[in-house]
Amino acid sequence: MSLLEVNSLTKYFGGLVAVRDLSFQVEEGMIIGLIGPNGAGKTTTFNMISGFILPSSGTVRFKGETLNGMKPHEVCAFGLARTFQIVQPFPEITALENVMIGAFVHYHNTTDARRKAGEMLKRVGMARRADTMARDLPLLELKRLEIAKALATEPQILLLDEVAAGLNAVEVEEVLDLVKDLNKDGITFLLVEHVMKVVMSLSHRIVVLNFGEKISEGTPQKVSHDPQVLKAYLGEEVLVA
Amino acid sequence: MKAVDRQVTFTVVLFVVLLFIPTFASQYIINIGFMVFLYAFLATAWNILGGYAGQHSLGHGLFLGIGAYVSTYLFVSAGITPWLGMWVGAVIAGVTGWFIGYLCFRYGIKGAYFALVTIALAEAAVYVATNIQAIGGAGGLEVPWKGNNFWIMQFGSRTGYYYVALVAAFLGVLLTLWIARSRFGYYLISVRENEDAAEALGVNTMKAKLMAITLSAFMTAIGGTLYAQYFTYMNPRSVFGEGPSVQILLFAIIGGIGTVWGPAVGALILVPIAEITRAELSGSFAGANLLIYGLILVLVMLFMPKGVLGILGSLGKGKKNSPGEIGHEPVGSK
Repeated sequence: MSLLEVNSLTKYFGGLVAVRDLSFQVEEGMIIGLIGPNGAGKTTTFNMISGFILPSSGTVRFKGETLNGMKPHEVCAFGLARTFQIVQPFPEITALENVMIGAFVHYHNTTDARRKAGEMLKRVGMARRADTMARDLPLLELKRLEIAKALATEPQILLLDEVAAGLNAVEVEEVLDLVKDLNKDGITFLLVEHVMKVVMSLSHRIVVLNFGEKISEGTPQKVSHDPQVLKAYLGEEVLVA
Repeated sequence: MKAVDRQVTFTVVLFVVLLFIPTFASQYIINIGFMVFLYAFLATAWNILGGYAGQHSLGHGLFLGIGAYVSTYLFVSAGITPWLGMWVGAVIAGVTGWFIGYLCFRYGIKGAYFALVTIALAEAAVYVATNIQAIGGAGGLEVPWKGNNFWIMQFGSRTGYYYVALVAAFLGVLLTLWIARSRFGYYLISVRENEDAAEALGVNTMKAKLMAITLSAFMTAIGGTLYAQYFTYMNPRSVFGEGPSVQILLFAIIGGIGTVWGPAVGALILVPIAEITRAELSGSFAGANLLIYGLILVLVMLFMPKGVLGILGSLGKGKKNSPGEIGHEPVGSK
Protein backbone atom coordinates (compact mmCIF):
# COMPACT_ATOMS: atom_id res chain seq x y z
CA MET A 1 0.00 0.00 0.00
CA SER A 2 1.23 3.46 -0.86
CA LEU A 3 1.64 6.12 1.77
CA LEU A 4 -0.33 8.64 -0.27
CA GLU A 5 -2.88 7.77 -2.92
CA VAL A 6 -4.56 10.35 -5.10
CA ASN A 7 -7.55 8.92 -6.97
CA SER A 8 -9.39 10.68 -9.79
CA LEU A 9 -8.97 14.05 -8.13
CA THR A 10 -10.94 16.78 -9.91
CA LYS A 11 -11.43 20.46 -9.14
CA TYR A 12 -13.66 22.93 -10.92
CA PHE A 13 -13.48 26.65 -10.25
CA GLY A 14 -16.77 27.73 -11.78
CA GLY A 15 -16.59 26.47 -15.34
CA LEU A 16 -12.83 26.14 -15.31
CA VAL A 17 -11.27 22.75 -14.74
CA ALA A 18 -8.16 23.26 -12.66
CA VAL A 19 -7.44 19.58 -12.13
CA ARG A 20 -9.13 16.73 -14.00
CA ASP A 21 -9.20 13.06 -13.01
CA LEU A 22 -5.72 13.08 -11.53
CA SER A 23 -4.39 9.86 -10.01
CA PHE A 24 -0.95 9.04 -8.70
CA GLN A 25 0.68 7.41 -5.72
CA VAL A 26 3.54 8.22 -3.43
CA GLU A 27 5.29 5.25 -1.84
CA GLU A 28 7.01 5.52 1.49
CA GLY A 29 10.58 6.80 1.35
CA MET A 30 10.28 8.22 -2.16
CA ILE A 31 10.74 11.69 -3.54
CA ILE A 32 8.05 12.33 -6.11
CA GLY A 33 8.07 15.40 -8.33
CA LEU A 34 4.95 17.11 -9.60
CA ILE A 35 5.73 19.36 -12.55
CA GLY A 36 3.90 21.23 -15.25
CA PRO A 37 3.70 24.65 -16.86
CA ASN A 38 2.09 27.62 -15.11
CA GLY A 39 -1.56 26.98 -14.41
CA ALA A 40 -1.23 23.22 -14.81
CA GLY A 41 -2.93 22.67 -11.46
CA LYS A 42 0.03 21.78 -9.27
CA THR A 43 -0.72 24.12 -6.38
CA THR A 44 -4.43 23.32 -6.62
CA THR A 45 -3.51 19.66 -6.22
CA PHE A 46 -1.40 20.52 -3.17
CA ASN A 47 -4.22 22.53 -1.69
CA MET A 48 -6.63 19.63 -2.14
CA ILE A 49 -4.27 17.10 -0.60
CA SER A 50 -3.52 19.29 2.40
CA GLY A 51 -7.17 20.15 3.04
CA PHE A 52 -7.10 23.83 2.09
CA ILE A 53 -9.66 23.35 -0.66
CA LEU A 54 -12.25 20.67 -1.15
CA PRO A 55 -12.01 18.55 -4.31
CA SER A 56 -15.02 18.62 -6.62
CA SER A 57 -14.64 14.85 -6.83
CA GLY A 58 -12.08 12.14 -6.25
CA THR A 59 -10.29 11.07 -3.09
CA VAL A 60 -7.03 11.48 -1.29
CA ARG A 61 -5.94 8.61 0.92
CA PHE A 62 -3.08 8.84 3.37
CA LYS A 63 -1.92 5.85 5.42
CA GLY A 64 -5.04 4.07 4.21
CA GLU A 65 -7.44 6.72 5.56
CA THR A 66 -9.33 9.13 3.39
CA LEU A 67 -8.44 12.77 3.95
CA ASN A 68 -11.48 14.22 2.19
CA GLY A 69 -13.23 16.77 4.37
CA MET A 70 -10.43 16.98 6.91
CA LYS A 71 -9.34 20.47 7.91
CA PRO A 72 -5.72 21.44 7.18
CA HIS A 73 -4.80 21.30 10.86
CA GLU A 74 -6.20 17.77 11.11
CA VAL A 75 -4.30 16.69 8.01
CA CYS A 76 -1.14 18.10 9.55
CA ALA A 77 -1.65 16.37 12.88
CA PHE A 78 -2.21 13.15 10.94
CA GLY A 79 1.32 13.32 9.55
CA LEU A 80 1.13 15.26 6.29
CA ALA A 81 2.82 18.66 6.34
CA ARG A 82 3.21 21.23 3.59
CA THR A 83 5.04 24.42 2.79
CA PHE A 84 3.78 27.26 0.64
CA GLN A 85 4.99 28.56 -2.70
CA ILE A 86 5.28 32.01 -1.16
CA VAL A 87 6.93 31.72 2.26
CA GLN A 88 4.47 32.17 5.10
CA PRO A 89 6.39 33.09 8.24
CA PHE A 90 4.89 34.53 11.42
CA PRO A 91 6.79 37.81 11.00
CA GLU A 92 6.61 39.37 14.47
CA ILE A 93 7.95 36.44 16.45
CA THR A 94 11.39 34.84 16.47
CA ALA A 95 12.52 32.02 14.21
CA LEU A 96 12.49 29.67 17.18
CA GLU A 97 8.94 30.65 18.08
CA ASN A 98 7.89 30.16 14.46
CA VAL A 99 9.07 26.58 14.64
CA MET A 100 7.52 26.10 18.08
CA ILE A 101 4.07 26.65 16.58
CA GLY A 102 4.61 23.49 14.54
CA ALA A 103 6.17 21.61 17.45
CA PHE A 104 3.11 22.23 19.61
CA VAL A 105 1.20 19.63 17.57
CA HIS A 106 2.96 16.88 19.46
CA TYR A 107 4.57 18.74 22.37
CA HIS A 108 1.93 20.54 24.38
CA ASN A 109 4.26 21.99 26.91
CA THR A 110 6.27 25.09 26.03
CA THR A 111 9.60 23.74 27.27
CA ASP A 112 9.34 20.58 25.17
CA ALA A 113 8.15 22.50 22.14
CA ARG A 114 11.06 24.92 22.48
CA ARG A 115 13.55 22.06 22.66
CA LYS A 116 12.02 20.35 19.63
CA ALA A 117 12.03 23.65 17.72
CA GLY A 118 15.68 24.18 18.59
CA GLU A 119 16.54 20.75 17.19
CA MET A 120 14.66 21.47 13.98
CA LEU A 121 16.37 24.82 13.49
CA LYS A 122 19.67 23.07 13.91
CA ARG A 123 18.58 20.41 11.45
CA VAL A 124 18.09 23.03 8.73
CA GLY A 125 21.27 24.86 9.70
CA MET A 126 19.66 27.86 11.36
CA ALA A 127 20.47 27.38 15.02
CA ARG A 128 22.23 30.71 15.28
CA ARG A 129 19.14 32.50 13.94
CA ALA A 130 16.88 31.22 16.73
CA ASP A 131 16.32 34.64 18.29
CA THR A 132 15.98 36.62 15.06
CA MET A 133 12.56 37.97 14.21
CA ALA A 134 11.22 36.14 11.18
CA ARG A 135 10.57 39.44 9.38
CA ASP A 136 14.34 40.11 9.46
CA LEU A 137 15.35 36.88 7.72
CA PRO A 138 16.46 36.75 4.06
CA LEU A 139 14.60 34.55 1.61
CA LEU A 140 16.92 31.55 1.75
CA GLU A 141 16.57 31.39 5.51
CA LEU A 142 12.82 31.89 5.30
CA LYS A 143 12.70 28.86 3.01
CA ARG A 144 14.71 26.88 5.52
CA LEU A 145 12.48 28.18 8.27
CA GLU A 146 9.42 26.92 6.36
CA ILE A 147 10.97 23.47 6.22
CA ALA A 148 11.91 23.58 9.92
CA LYS A 149 8.35 24.58 10.85
CA ALA A 150 6.90 21.72 8.82
CA LEU A 151 9.46 19.24 10.21
CA ALA A 152 8.56 20.24 13.75
CA THR A 153 5.11 18.72 13.21
CA GLU A 154 6.90 15.36 12.70
CA PRO A 155 5.39 14.56 9.32
CA GLN A 156 5.71 11.26 7.49
CA ILE A 157 5.30 13.06 4.21
CA LEU A 158 6.28 16.59 3.40
CA LEU A 159 4.80 18.53 0.50
CA LEU A 160 7.15 21.23 -0.73
CA ASP A 161 5.66 23.87 -3.02
CA GLU A 162 8.41 25.38 -5.16
CA VAL A 163 11.01 25.35 -2.47
CA ALA A 164 13.73 26.47 -4.91
CA ALA A 165 11.81 29.39 -6.41
CA GLY A 166 13.60 32.70 -5.98
CA LEU A 167 16.89 31.19 -4.89
CA ASN A 168 20.19 31.46 -6.75
CA ALA A 169 22.12 28.44 -7.99
CA VAL A 170 24.21 28.01 -4.86
CA GLU A 171 21.21 28.36 -2.59
CA VAL A 172 19.23 25.87 -4.65
CA GLU A 173 22.07 23.42 -4.18
CA GLU A 174 21.93 23.90 -0.43
CA VAL A 175 18.21 23.30 -0.25
CA LEU A 176 18.58 20.20 -2.44
CA ASP A 177 21.15 18.73 -0.09
CA LEU A 178 18.83 19.37 2.81
CA VAL A 179 15.94 17.56 1.11
CA LYS A 180 18.19 14.61 0.24
CA ASP A 181 19.38 14.39 3.84
CA LEU A 182 15.88 14.50 5.23
CA ASN A 183 14.80 11.84 2.76
CA LYS A 184 17.61 9.60 4.02
CA ASP A 185 16.18 10.10 7.50
CA GLY A 186 12.98 8.52 6.26
CA ILE A 187 10.77 11.45 5.27
CA THR A 188 8.79 11.01 2.09
CA PHE A 189 8.54 14.01 -0.23
CA LEU A 190 6.13 15.31 -2.79
CA LEU A 191 7.64 18.28 -4.61
CA VAL A 192 6.03 20.83 -6.82
CA GLU A 193 8.78 22.46 -8.81
CA HIS A 194 9.51 24.88 -11.54
CA VAL A 195 13.28 24.70 -11.39
CA MET A 196 13.88 21.68 -13.61
CA LYS A 197 17.22 20.85 -12.12
CA VAL A 198 15.61 20.32 -8.75
CA VAL A 199 13.06 17.78 -9.90
CA MET A 200 15.37 15.98 -12.27
CA SER A 201 18.20 15.44 -9.83
CA LEU A 202 16.07 14.74 -6.82
CA SER A 203 12.95 12.81 -7.78
CA HIS A 204 12.63 9.08 -7.96
CA ARG A 205 9.55 9.52 -10.10
CA ILE A 206 7.87 12.45 -11.79
CA VAL A 207 4.25 13.22 -12.52
CA VAL A 208 3.68 15.75 -15.30
CA LEU A 209 0.54 17.89 -15.42
CA ASN A 210 -0.72 20.04 -18.24
CA PHE A 211 -4.03 21.93 -18.16
CA GLY A 212 -5.01 19.98 -15.06
CA GLU A 213 -4.45 16.55 -16.52
CA LYS A 214 -1.69 14.04 -16.07
CA ILE A 215 0.15 13.67 -19.36
CA SER A 216 3.06 11.57 -18.25
CA GLU A 217 4.54 9.73 -15.30
CA GLY A 218 7.80 7.89 -14.77
CA THR A 219 11.47 8.21 -13.98
CA PRO A 220 13.14 11.56 -14.73
CA GLN A 221 14.83 9.96 -17.74
CA LYS A 222 11.62 8.57 -19.13
CA VAL A 223 9.63 11.73 -18.57
CA SER A 224 12.27 13.98 -20.00
CA HIS A 225 12.17 12.03 -23.25
CA ASP A 226 8.41 11.74 -23.47
CA PRO A 227 7.47 13.67 -26.64
CA GLN A 228 4.23 14.84 -25.07
CA VAL A 229 6.06 16.34 -22.15
CA LEU A 230 8.60 17.99 -24.38
CA LYS A 231 5.85 19.46 -26.44
CA ALA A 232 3.62 20.63 -23.62
CA TYR A 233 6.04 21.69 -21.02
CA LEU A 234 9.52 22.09 -22.34
CA GLY A 235 8.83 23.24 -25.84
CA GLU A 236 10.35 21.22 -28.65
CA GLU A 237 13.84 21.38 -27.31
CA VAL A 238 15.74 18.55 -25.75
CA LEU A 239 15.86 18.55 -22.01
CA VAL A 240 19.17 19.05 -20.31
CA ALA A 241 19.87 15.93 -18.36
CA MET B 1 11.06 30.38 32.01
CA LYS B 2 13.10 32.50 34.37
CA ALA B 3 11.84 35.67 32.75
CA VAL B 4 8.29 34.56 33.44
CA ASP B 5 9.02 33.92 37.08
CA ARG B 6 10.50 37.39 37.33
CA GLN B 7 7.40 38.85 35.79
CA VAL B 8 5.14 36.90 38.13
CA THR B 9 7.20 38.07 41.08
CA PHE B 10 6.98 41.64 39.86
CA THR B 11 3.22 41.35 39.47
CA VAL B 12 2.76 39.96 42.96
CA VAL B 13 5.00 42.60 44.53
CA LEU B 14 3.17 45.36 42.69
CA PHE B 15 -0.13 43.91 43.87
CA VAL B 16 0.97 43.89 47.48
CA VAL B 17 2.27 47.46 47.23
CA LEU B 18 -1.00 48.63 45.72
CA LEU B 19 -2.89 46.98 48.60
CA PHE B 20 -1.39 49.58 50.93
CA ILE B 21 -2.22 52.66 48.89
CA PRO B 22 -5.66 53.20 50.50
CA THR B 23 -4.12 53.40 53.96
CA PHE B 24 -2.80 56.87 53.19
CA ALA B 25 -4.36 58.02 49.92
CA SER B 26 -7.36 60.33 49.60
CA GLN B 27 -10.72 59.13 48.30
CA TYR B 28 -9.99 61.10 45.13
CA ILE B 29 -6.84 59.07 44.47
CA ILE B 30 -8.63 55.86 45.39
CA ASN B 31 -11.34 56.73 42.90
CA ILE B 32 -8.71 57.12 40.19
CA GLY B 33 -7.11 53.89 41.36
CA PHE B 34 -10.39 52.03 40.97
CA MET B 35 -10.85 53.37 37.45
CA VAL B 36 -7.29 52.47 36.49
CA PHE B 37 -7.76 48.89 37.68
CA LEU B 38 -11.20 48.51 36.15
CA TYR B 39 -10.04 49.74 32.75
CA ALA B 40 -6.78 47.83 33.02
CA PHE B 41 -8.84 44.71 33.57
CA LEU B 42 -11.25 45.45 30.71
CA ALA B 43 -8.44 46.32 28.30
CA THR B 44 -6.58 43.18 29.36
CA ALA B 45 -9.68 41.16 28.52
CA TRP B 46 -9.94 42.89 25.14
CA ASN B 47 -6.24 42.28 24.53
CA ILE B 48 -6.62 38.50 24.61
CA LEU B 49 -8.86 38.65 21.56
CA GLY B 50 -7.61 41.84 19.94
CA GLY B 51 -3.94 41.82 20.86
CA TYR B 52 -3.02 38.16 20.92
CA ALA B 53 -5.49 36.63 18.47
CA GLY B 54 -5.48 39.77 16.30
CA GLN B 55 -9.29 39.97 16.03
CA HIS B 56 -10.07 43.62 16.70
CA SER B 57 -13.44 43.95 18.35
CA LEU B 58 -14.88 47.45 18.40
CA GLY B 59 -17.97 46.27 20.23
CA HIS B 60 -16.82 45.05 23.61
CA GLY B 61 -19.47 47.26 25.14
CA LEU B 62 -21.83 44.43 24.28
CA PHE B 63 -20.13 42.16 26.81
CA LEU B 64 -19.65 44.96 29.34
CA GLY B 65 -23.37 45.68 29.13
CA ILE B 66 -24.37 42.06 29.50
CA GLY B 67 -22.29 41.82 32.66
CA ALA B 68 -23.68 45.05 34.10
CA TYR B 69 -27.31 44.35 33.26
CA VAL B 70 -27.44 40.67 34.18
CA SER B 71 -25.93 41.00 37.65
CA THR B 72 -27.95 44.13 38.40
CA TYR B 73 -31.20 42.66 37.13
CA LEU B 74 -30.69 39.52 39.22
CA PHE B 75 -29.90 41.70 42.24
CA VAL B 76 -32.88 44.01 41.80
CA SER B 77 -35.48 41.44 40.84
CA ALA B 78 -34.41 38.39 42.84
CA GLY B 79 -32.02 39.69 45.46
CA ILE B 80 -29.19 37.57 44.10
CA THR B 81 -25.84 38.95 45.19
CA PRO B 82 -23.69 40.44 42.41
CA TRP B 83 -20.94 38.08 43.53
CA LEU B 84 -23.08 35.32 41.99
CA GLY B 85 -24.79 37.40 39.31
CA MET B 86 -21.35 38.35 38.05
CA TRP B 87 -20.67 34.76 37.00
CA VAL B 88 -24.11 34.39 35.42
CA GLY B 89 -23.46 37.50 33.35
CA ALA B 90 -19.99 36.25 32.47
CA VAL B 91 -21.34 32.91 31.26
CA ILE B 92 -24.06 34.60 29.19
CA ALA B 93 -21.48 36.98 27.69
CA GLY B 94 -19.11 34.08 27.03
CA VAL B 95 -21.80 32.14 25.19
CA THR B 96 -22.77 35.28 23.26
CA GLY B 97 -19.12 35.86 22.35
CA TRP B 98 -18.72 32.28 21.27
CA PHE B 99 -21.80 32.52 19.08
CA ILE B 100 -20.67 35.79 17.45
CA GLY B 101 -17.26 34.28 16.89
CA TYR B 102 -18.74 31.13 15.43
CA LEU B 103 -20.82 33.09 12.93
CA CYS B 104 -17.95 35.40 11.94
CA PHE B 105 -15.09 32.94 11.82
CA ARG B 106 -17.15 30.20 10.21
CA TYR B 107 -17.65 32.48 7.24
CA GLY B 108 -14.13 33.88 7.24
CA ILE B 109 -15.06 37.33 8.49
CA LYS B 110 -11.95 39.04 9.80
CA GLY B 111 -10.06 42.31 9.97
CA ALA B 112 -12.16 45.41 9.36
CA TYR B 113 -15.23 43.30 8.65
CA PHE B 114 -15.04 41.61 12.01
CA ALA B 115 -14.69 45.04 13.64
CA LEU B 116 -17.80 46.23 11.78
CA VAL B 117 -19.84 43.22 12.84
CA THR B 118 -18.93 43.79 16.49
CA ILE B 119 -19.86 47.49 16.27
CA ALA B 120 -23.18 46.59 14.69
CA LEU B 121 -24.03 44.00 17.32
CA ALA B 122 -23.15 46.28 20.23
CA GLU B 123 -25.23 49.03 18.64
CA ALA B 124 -28.10 46.60 18.14
CA ALA B 125 -27.87 45.73 21.83
CA VAL B 126 -28.45 49.41 22.68
CA TYR B 127 -31.79 49.29 20.90
CA VAL B 128 -32.77 45.89 22.20
CA ALA B 129 -32.09 46.99 25.79
CA THR B 130 -33.94 50.25 25.19
CA ASN B 131 -37.02 48.28 24.28
CA ILE B 132 -37.05 45.84 27.16
CA GLN B 133 -39.09 47.45 29.92
CA ALA B 134 -38.15 44.76 32.44
CA ILE B 135 -34.64 46.16 32.54
CA GLY B 136 -35.73 49.75 32.61
CA GLY B 137 -35.85 50.50 28.90
CA ALA B 138 -34.24 53.79 27.94
CA GLY B 139 -34.29 54.89 31.58
CA GLY B 140 -31.78 52.23 32.52
CA LEU B 141 -31.29 50.37 35.77
CA GLU B 142 -30.20 51.58 39.14
CA VAL B 143 -28.38 49.47 41.71
CA PRO B 144 -30.27 50.14 44.95
CA TRP B 145 -28.13 51.01 47.95
CA LYS B 146 -28.59 48.36 50.63
CA GLY B 147 -25.85 49.49 52.96
CA ASN B 148 -22.21 48.71 53.42
CA ASN B 149 -22.10 44.94 52.94
CA PHE B 150 -19.30 42.95 51.39
CA TRP B 151 -21.62 40.06 50.53
CA ILE B 152 -23.63 42.16 48.11
CA MET B 153 -20.54 43.96 46.77
CA GLN B 154 -21.55 47.32 48.22
CA PHE B 155 -19.10 49.38 50.17
CA GLY B 156 -19.49 52.50 52.25
CA SER B 157 -16.24 53.95 50.97
CA ARG B 158 -14.46 53.75 47.64
CA THR B 159 -11.74 51.62 49.22
CA GLY B 160 -13.80 48.43 48.99
CA TYR B 161 -14.32 48.87 45.27
CA TYR B 162 -10.65 49.71 44.90
CA TYR B 163 -9.71 46.32 46.31
CA VAL B 164 -12.20 44.41 44.18
CA ALA B 165 -10.96 46.06 40.98
CA LEU B 166 -7.34 45.60 42.04
CA VAL B 167 -7.85 41.87 42.47
CA ALA B 168 -9.56 41.67 39.07
CA ALA B 169 -6.73 43.52 37.33
CA PHE B 170 -4.14 41.43 39.17
CA LEU B 171 -5.76 38.17 38.09
CA GLY B 172 -6.19 39.50 34.55
CA VAL B 173 -2.49 40.26 34.24
CA LEU B 174 -1.52 36.89 35.74
CA LEU B 175 -3.80 35.13 33.29
CA THR B 176 -2.24 37.05 30.39
CA LEU B 177 1.22 36.16 31.64
CA TRP B 178 0.24 32.52 31.58
CA ILE B 179 -1.34 32.81 28.14
CA ALA B 180 1.69 34.57 26.68
CA ARG B 181 3.89 31.60 27.55
CA SER B 182 1.47 28.76 26.85
CA ARG B 183 0.61 26.75 23.79
CA PHE B 184 -2.75 28.55 23.72
CA GLY B 185 -1.00 31.91 23.58
CA TYR B 186 1.35 30.86 20.81
CA TYR B 187 -1.62 29.54 18.88
CA LEU B 188 -3.39 32.89 19.23
CA ILE B 189 -0.29 34.71 18.02
CA SER B 190 0.07 32.34 15.06
CA VAL B 191 -3.53 33.08 14.10
CA ARG B 192 -2.84 36.80 14.27
CA GLU B 193 0.39 36.57 12.32
CA ASN B 194 -0.65 34.23 9.54
CA GLU B 195 -3.78 32.14 9.67
CA ASP B 196 -3.08 29.88 6.69
CA ALA B 197 0.40 29.10 7.92
CA ALA B 198 -1.02 28.32 11.35
CA GLU B 199 -3.57 25.88 9.90
CA ALA B 200 -0.85 24.18 7.88
CA LEU B 201 1.13 23.64 11.08
CA GLY B 202 -1.69 21.88 12.84
CA VAL B 203 -3.25 24.85 14.62
CA ASN B 204 -7.02 24.59 14.91
CA THR B 205 -7.44 28.29 14.14
CA MET B 206 -11.22 28.22 14.51
CA LYS B 207 -10.99 26.74 17.98
CA ALA B 208 -8.23 29.15 19.02
CA LYS B 209 -10.25 32.18 17.94
CA LEU B 210 -13.42 30.88 19.58
CA MET B 211 -11.61 30.30 22.86
CA ALA B 212 -10.16 33.79 22.68
CA ILE B 213 -13.47 35.56 22.08
CA THR B 214 -15.27 33.45 24.69
CA LEU B 215 -12.66 34.16 27.36
CA SER B 216 -12.46 37.83 26.42
CA ALA B 217 -16.24 38.26 26.57
CA PHE B 218 -16.44 36.34 29.85
CA MET B 219 -13.89 38.61 31.51
CA THR B 220 -15.36 41.79 30.07
CA ALA B 221 -18.74 40.93 31.57
CA ILE B 222 -17.13 40.55 35.00
CA GLY B 223 -15.78 44.06 34.51
CA GLY B 224 -19.34 45.07 33.64
CA THR B 225 -20.59 43.94 37.04
CA LEU B 226 -17.83 45.90 38.79
CA TYR B 227 -18.77 48.92 36.69
CA ALA B 228 -22.43 48.62 37.69
CA GLN B 229 -21.66 48.20 41.38
CA TYR B 230 -19.38 51.23 41.43
CA PHE B 231 -21.37 53.69 39.37
CA THR B 232 -24.71 52.23 40.56
CA TYR B 233 -26.46 53.28 37.39
CA MET B 234 -26.49 52.16 33.78
CA ASN B 235 -28.54 52.83 30.70
CA PRO B 236 -28.32 51.12 27.32
CA ARG B 237 -26.09 53.79 25.79
CA SER B 238 -23.74 54.06 28.74
CA VAL B 239 -22.71 50.41 28.72
CA PHE B 240 -23.60 48.90 25.33
CA GLY B 241 -22.78 52.07 23.40
CA GLU B 242 -19.73 53.00 21.40
CA GLY B 243 -18.28 55.03 24.29
CA PRO B 244 -17.16 52.15 26.48
CA SER B 245 -16.33 49.98 23.44
CA VAL B 246 -13.87 52.54 22.14
CA GLN B 247 -12.46 53.40 25.56
CA ILE B 248 -11.59 49.79 26.30
CA LEU B 249 -9.56 49.40 23.17
CA LEU B 250 -7.93 52.82 23.46
CA PHE B 251 -6.24 51.77 26.67
CA ALA B 252 -4.94 48.63 25.01
CA ILE B 253 -3.74 50.46 21.91
CA ILE B 254 -2.03 53.28 23.79
CA GLY B 255 -0.32 50.85 26.14
CA GLY B 256 0.70 48.39 23.45
CA ILE B 257 -1.52 45.62 22.21
CA GLY B 258 -0.41 42.03 22.20
CA THR B 259 1.79 42.64 25.23
CA VAL B 260 1.11 41.45 28.76
CA TRP B 261 1.38 44.85 30.41
CA GLY B 262 0.26 47.13 27.60
CA PRO B 263 -3.41 47.41 28.57
CA ALA B 264 -2.58 48.08 32.21
CA VAL B 265 0.02 50.68 31.28
CA GLY B 266 -2.45 52.30 28.91
CA ALA B 267 -5.03 52.57 31.67
CA LEU B 268 -2.42 53.86 34.11
CA ILE B 269 -1.49 56.66 31.70
CA LEU B 270 -4.88 57.63 30.31
CA VAL B 271 -7.25 57.34 33.25
CA PRO B 272 -5.45 59.89 35.45
CA ILE B 273 -5.07 62.26 32.48
CA ALA B 274 -8.77 62.01 31.74
CA GLU B 275 -9.73 62.48 35.37
CA ILE B 276 -7.36 65.34 36.09
CA THR B 277 -8.09 67.31 32.94
CA ARG B 278 -11.79 66.91 33.64
CA ALA B 279 -11.46 68.04 37.22
CA GLU B 280 -9.23 70.99 36.34
CA LEU B 281 -10.79 72.19 33.15
CA SER B 282 -14.42 71.17 32.83
CA GLY B 283 -15.54 74.10 35.01
CA SER B 284 -13.68 76.90 33.25
CA PHE B 285 -13.33 75.60 29.71
CA ALA B 286 -16.12 73.17 28.98
CA GLY B 287 -14.87 70.53 26.56
CA ALA B 288 -11.20 71.51 26.89
CA ASN B 289 -10.50 68.32 28.79
CA LEU B 290 -11.72 66.24 25.88
CA LEU B 291 -9.65 68.33 23.51
CA ILE B 292 -6.48 67.68 25.49
CA TYR B 293 -7.34 64.02 25.88
CA GLY B 294 -7.79 63.75 22.13
CA LEU B 295 -4.54 65.58 21.49
CA ILE B 296 -2.64 63.13 23.68
CA LEU B 297 -4.16 60.21 21.82
CA VAL B 298 -3.14 61.68 18.48
CA LEU B 299 0.41 62.31 19.66
CA VAL B 300 0.83 58.82 21.03
CA MET B 301 -0.49 57.29 17.84
CA LEU B 302 1.81 59.48 15.76
CA PHE B 303 5.00 58.82 17.66
CA MET B 304 4.32 55.43 19.20
CA PRO B 305 2.12 53.52 16.79
CA LYS B 306 2.86 50.31 18.64
CA GLY B 307 1.91 51.83 21.96
CA VAL B 308 4.07 52.78 24.89
CA LEU B 309 5.28 49.25 25.55
CA GLY B 310 5.77 48.61 21.86
CA ILE B 311 8.31 51.43 21.81
CA LEU B 312 10.11 50.18 24.89
CA GLY B 313 10.16 46.70 23.38
CA SER B 314 11.85 47.83 20.19
CA LEU B 315 14.32 50.02 22.07
CA GLY B 316 15.38 46.95 24.03
CA LYS B 317 15.94 45.47 20.55
CA GLY B 318 13.89 42.56 20.22
CA LYS B 319 13.87 39.74 22.64
CA LYS B 320 11.06 37.33 23.09
CA ASN B 321 7.71 38.10 24.48
CA SER B 322 7.21 41.22 22.45
CA PRO B 323 5.14 40.08 19.53
CA GLY B 324 3.13 43.21 19.38
CA GLU B 325 2.33 44.77 16.08
CA ILE B 326 -1.16 45.20 14.86
CA GLY B 327 -2.42 45.27 11.36
CA HIS B 328 -0.14 42.71 9.83
CA GLU B 329 -2.17 41.20 7.03
CA PRO B 330 -1.39 37.55 6.41
CA VAL B 331 -0.39 36.71 2.86
CA GLY B 332 -3.26 34.56 1.75
CA SER B 333 -2.63 31.41 -0.22
CA LYS B 334 -6.04 31.22 -1.78
